[in-house]
Amino acid sequence: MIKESQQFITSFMFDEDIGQEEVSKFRRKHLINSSRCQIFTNTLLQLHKNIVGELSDRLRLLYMQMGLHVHSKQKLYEGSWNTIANGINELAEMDMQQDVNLIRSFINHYHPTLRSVAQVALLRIQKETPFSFLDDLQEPILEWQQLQLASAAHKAHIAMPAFKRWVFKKEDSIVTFCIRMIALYNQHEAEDVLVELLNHPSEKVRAEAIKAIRTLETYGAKEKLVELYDNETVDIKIDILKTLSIIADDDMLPFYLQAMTSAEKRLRLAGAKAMSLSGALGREALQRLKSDLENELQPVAAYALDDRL
Amino acid sequence: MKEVMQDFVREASVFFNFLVLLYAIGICLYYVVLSALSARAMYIYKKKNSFIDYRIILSSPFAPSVSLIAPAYNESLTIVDNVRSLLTLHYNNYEVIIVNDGSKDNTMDLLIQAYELERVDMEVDERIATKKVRGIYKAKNPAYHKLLVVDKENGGKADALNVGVNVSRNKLIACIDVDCVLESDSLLKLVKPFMEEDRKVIATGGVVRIANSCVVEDGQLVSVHVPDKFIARVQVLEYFRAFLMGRMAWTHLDGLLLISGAFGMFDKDIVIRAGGYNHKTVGEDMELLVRMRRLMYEEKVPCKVAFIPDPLCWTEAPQTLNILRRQRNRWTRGTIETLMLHRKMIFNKNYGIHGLISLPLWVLFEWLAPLIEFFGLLFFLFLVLLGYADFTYFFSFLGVVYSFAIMTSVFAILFEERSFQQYKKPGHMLSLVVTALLEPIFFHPVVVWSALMGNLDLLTGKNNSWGEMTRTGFAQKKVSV
Repeated sequence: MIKESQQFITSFMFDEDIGQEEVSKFRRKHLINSSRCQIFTNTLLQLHKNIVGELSDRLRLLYMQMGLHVHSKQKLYEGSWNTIANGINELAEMDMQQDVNLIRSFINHYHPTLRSVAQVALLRIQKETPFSFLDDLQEPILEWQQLQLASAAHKAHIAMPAFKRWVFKKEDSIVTFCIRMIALYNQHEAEDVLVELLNHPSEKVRAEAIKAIRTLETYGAKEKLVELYDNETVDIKIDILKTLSIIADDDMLPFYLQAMTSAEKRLRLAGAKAMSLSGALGREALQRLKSDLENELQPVAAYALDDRL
Repeated sequence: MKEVMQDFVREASVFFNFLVLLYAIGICLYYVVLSALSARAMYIYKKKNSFIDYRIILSSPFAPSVSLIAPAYNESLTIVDNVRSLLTLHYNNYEVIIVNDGSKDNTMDLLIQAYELERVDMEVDERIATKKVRGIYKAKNPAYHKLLVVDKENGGKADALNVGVNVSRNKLIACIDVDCVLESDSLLKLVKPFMEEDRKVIATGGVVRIANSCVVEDGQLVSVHVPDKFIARVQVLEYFRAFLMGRMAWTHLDGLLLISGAFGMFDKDIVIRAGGYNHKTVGEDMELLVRMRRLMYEEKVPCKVAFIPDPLCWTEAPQTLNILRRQRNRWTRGTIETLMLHRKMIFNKNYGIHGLISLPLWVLFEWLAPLIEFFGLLFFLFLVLLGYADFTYFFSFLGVVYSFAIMTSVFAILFEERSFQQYKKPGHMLSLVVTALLEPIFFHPVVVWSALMGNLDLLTGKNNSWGEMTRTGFAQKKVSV
């Protein structure tokens, strides 16, 4: 069956004279049950993944004429989550725009893998508004799903929307995903929103916002970060110090020095590193500390100046 | 008086037979249930995995960073190759931390020479107390920028791992035995559960396979073979049963108590808050996980320990009786020490499935099984001497138990064949089936005796250490072009 499928598909791709009649004939003769249909579909999809342009359109035409679109769509009405997911993948691969609403109905499914498959499928099919499903998304986007979405978006070469549109959603994971995408795609127009998110109740969201500010080098966030510092957790303080070393001037040296005298060793090390990254003045100050063997900050200064670490 | 004694012994033997039968039914049911649960768990895993492309983790900026920690003690034979293979794993953002635990041979010199190491002024945040660190080294050559070597005073495996935890920079730590051969995609697979669960994942583990007689080139596994020696071959079966059937089932129930010390990944923050590896026990891998779980229960944080059934790590199994006995003795002592340390959890509903099911069953079927078997046999011999032994019952019972053991092993072999087909030649399968037939007769008594000695040694306070595992190194083969 695989060999016959390959032969027919190849012929159809290169011979425009093969019309609906031949297609129907092949279908009546060979696609007599669901398994044979599936074998043909798999062969077609495998080929479609490696082809672009007119040939790809030919394959899509064959998919429709062979009635395989109906076969794939039927899967979305099955009970088993993996059958639905397989159906969605087939429709997405063949760019079945007419089924967008049906696929969209699964973005909040209880099964995380199926949710993810539906979301990635929409990314691929809805080229004009790839992330519009975020408007209706209620369920969390797990870390793994975020990875898949980011990867799929990159591969699909789509125009990225302004992710700041969704950073005030209730679900924190959607917010963190959007913050990461803002940073990844250098969406500087979202900088004001990132600064606002520094007040978010979720520690994870605040941490992501600080990392995004660091990536985008948002100089305007300096005062806010300093204001927040004292009331934050150790991990967030470390992120703040790293970020300030990128966005702030030499006027922050006393701030770093204060961190270097913290009771928490991780903060001492982070403060010293921030000072070393802040510029020539910071490195000079650390060099003086390193040379002073009696100074209790000497080991921390030596560590900060070692660029191998 | 003599008649009274005879009646008493007769009644005692009937009662003894009943108890042994009850225990045997219990243990058989235990294995049957675990097997069924494992089969279901594997089916679910395979179904979910068909939608996974691990390669996206490789190129994703969202993938978490990992610190791979490997303690090394007297590993001069293989350390350079082992480190090279760790540096070439398929993962984007990770560091390799080798902790030289005061080796008496030239392990450290070999590392310095091979990787052009130089001492650095690294300040360590010693969140877990350890033995003194003598120096920290990084490579001059940027090709080895992922490598960090720590030289420390000898303190044992647990202490070395704790140093690695202190030195690591990332939120996820993978703790391995340095002489294990990791599959190139092992980090990709082990990291995924931390990203896909809605509950906090505190640890993940994978399947450890036996590498004896396999062909390893430059630290990479190139060809899988069933071990030549019987002792190592039997351990292949043991590992099938333990990993594919035991741990899959316990993970499915969310009651897993043990991530193999050979290879496991952990949330560093939870490890530190739990206190790090315990260097006062020889079962530090199990003890740490139980303590981490206990911490999560006490803080009322829902969490999960995940297990990947894919073969991720290959290790050398003991090939001589002496080394095998020492290993099983240590495993027994480690199990008992962990159970004793956390006895408060047993039958305590505040510790969920671990308190009510995992730990009690571990006591009954992992710790007590060899003791019940040994003392049961002793009692039977006593009955033989007194002339009250029921040989029909004894041999029938032995026949049923033997058949059940074979059936379990064959099921494990089929499980592996259906799932991963690591042993591709038909001869391999036949060899394993024959080994399964011989295991209960020639291997099992050694394991029972070693467990018994483990109990005795712990009771008497003798031999409270790891002992030395003599490595022979993996089979090396150069392919001629």
